[in-house]
Amino acid sequence: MTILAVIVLVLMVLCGAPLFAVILAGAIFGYLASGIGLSVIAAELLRLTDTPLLVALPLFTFTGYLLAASDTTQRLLRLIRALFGWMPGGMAIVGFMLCAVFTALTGASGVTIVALGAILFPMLLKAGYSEKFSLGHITTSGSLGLLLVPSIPLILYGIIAQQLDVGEEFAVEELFVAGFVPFILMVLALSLWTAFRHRKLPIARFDPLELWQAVKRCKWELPLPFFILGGIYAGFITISEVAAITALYVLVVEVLVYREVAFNKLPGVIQESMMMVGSIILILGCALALTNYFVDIQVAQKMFAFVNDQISNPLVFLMLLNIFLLLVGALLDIFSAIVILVPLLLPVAVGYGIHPVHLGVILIANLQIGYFTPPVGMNLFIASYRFKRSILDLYVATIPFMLILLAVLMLITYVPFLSTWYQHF
Amino acid sequence: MSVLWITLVGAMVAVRQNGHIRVDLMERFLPPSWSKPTAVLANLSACMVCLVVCYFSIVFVIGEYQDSIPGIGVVPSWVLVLIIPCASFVMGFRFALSIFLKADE
Repeated sequence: MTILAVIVLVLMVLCGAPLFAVILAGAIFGYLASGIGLSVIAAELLRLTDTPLLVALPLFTFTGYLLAASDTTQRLLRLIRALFGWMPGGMAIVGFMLCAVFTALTGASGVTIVALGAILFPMLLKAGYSEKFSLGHITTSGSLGLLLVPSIPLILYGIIAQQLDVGEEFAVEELFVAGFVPFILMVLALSLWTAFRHRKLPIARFDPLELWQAVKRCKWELPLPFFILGGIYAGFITISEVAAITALYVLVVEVLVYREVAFNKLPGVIQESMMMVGSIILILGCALALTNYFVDIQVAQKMFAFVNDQISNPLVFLMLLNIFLLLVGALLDIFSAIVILVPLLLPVAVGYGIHPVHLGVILIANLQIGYFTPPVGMNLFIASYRFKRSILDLYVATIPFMLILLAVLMLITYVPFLSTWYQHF
Repeated sequence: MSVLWITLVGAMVAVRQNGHIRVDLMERFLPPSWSKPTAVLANLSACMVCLVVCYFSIVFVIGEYQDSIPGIGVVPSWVLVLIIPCASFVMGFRFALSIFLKADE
């Protein structure tokens, strides 16, 4: 029976059945085997969608899609060029930051590469960066920022981890605090390398007038990052409230103030973003139903007992975890990977004394790199499609970026303090 | 509750637009002639899963009705969760439809 179920599930995945259906099929098989009533699936979906935190997800996604539909990216690029264009490698460095902010909002669904990369790529080439560097830059930046507030994968991790009840309590806001230093380290490492490599590139002169013009052009969007960061980190209001106010603010600014998104375009934006929300939350709900079954048959405990027999050292466990997650990140998209892996990995990791917040940071950082890990990282395909370059060109272009981020990953994996420093105060 | 409705309406639209997350690994490596039979299998299995969920969520709705679980204001819970069987039926129907559409291509 078990073997038959596994064969059916693998066949479904290989044929390209929607992932939620595959997970549901798994839950159905499991429930049938252990005699749980199947109506629990509906109850699980209801329980999940009643989580107050989940309201933030559709709101942030809508905000991201709305910003992508307007000319915000162009305005921000102009501002950033005026600000940092005089630094060696300045253009590329601000590219990293801008992509990161954008990815944090849209959740690395390829929107960054398609919407922002399309503008950034010709700008980088014009500023004198090589094509190989620019391609690698944009492909890498497409998943940079997943550790930055208000990244949807990070919120997802928090929601699932809280449902699991592994004994270590934490708030989702803690994840954003924990992700900040690792994120800065990643940008810093990439920037230092970029600046060193392009130290001979001609640089633009600093022009205060141009800067002033650029600031005036995006005066309505400038408060946004401070607002989101301040709102969540300061803790005056909840994440859902920040999400609601942000969505409303962006809606008013883009539709009524800048008038770049016409009223008749709004339904399209809403439909597109809610399609994404629907497919993510549905997978999440189905996965929780499956998790129920896993908890029932004590998979995590058995896995921990098995793994603990082989590996007694937490450091060795972390190293193997890194390799495993890189492979997963290259094969699965980030949402499915989180939903499927967290219920299995978290209890095992806690057994090794790894704090859930630290595990979350490691997990997301890994999946972020997995996005452009050859041969099948998703961003490689998106960039190849968008910029009409062969996939092999992209493999070559991204390798140096990947090595740098891998080094940072090692650091944040083996130095938990970088993520959990706030607990020591 | 609003999230439940957004999710399921979005999910229904995603079926129509082929926007659900899938692992399209094999599509990249298999010859194009394989795409028709694999798509039929994928849609058929998804359809069956949706219909099973539809049936058992009707059981769930009846349970909510019999226990008269309160919902929002005057609207009882069973009305609000009625979207679950409805959405799973529509999705199952769409998947069934696309089996035949694919066969016609």
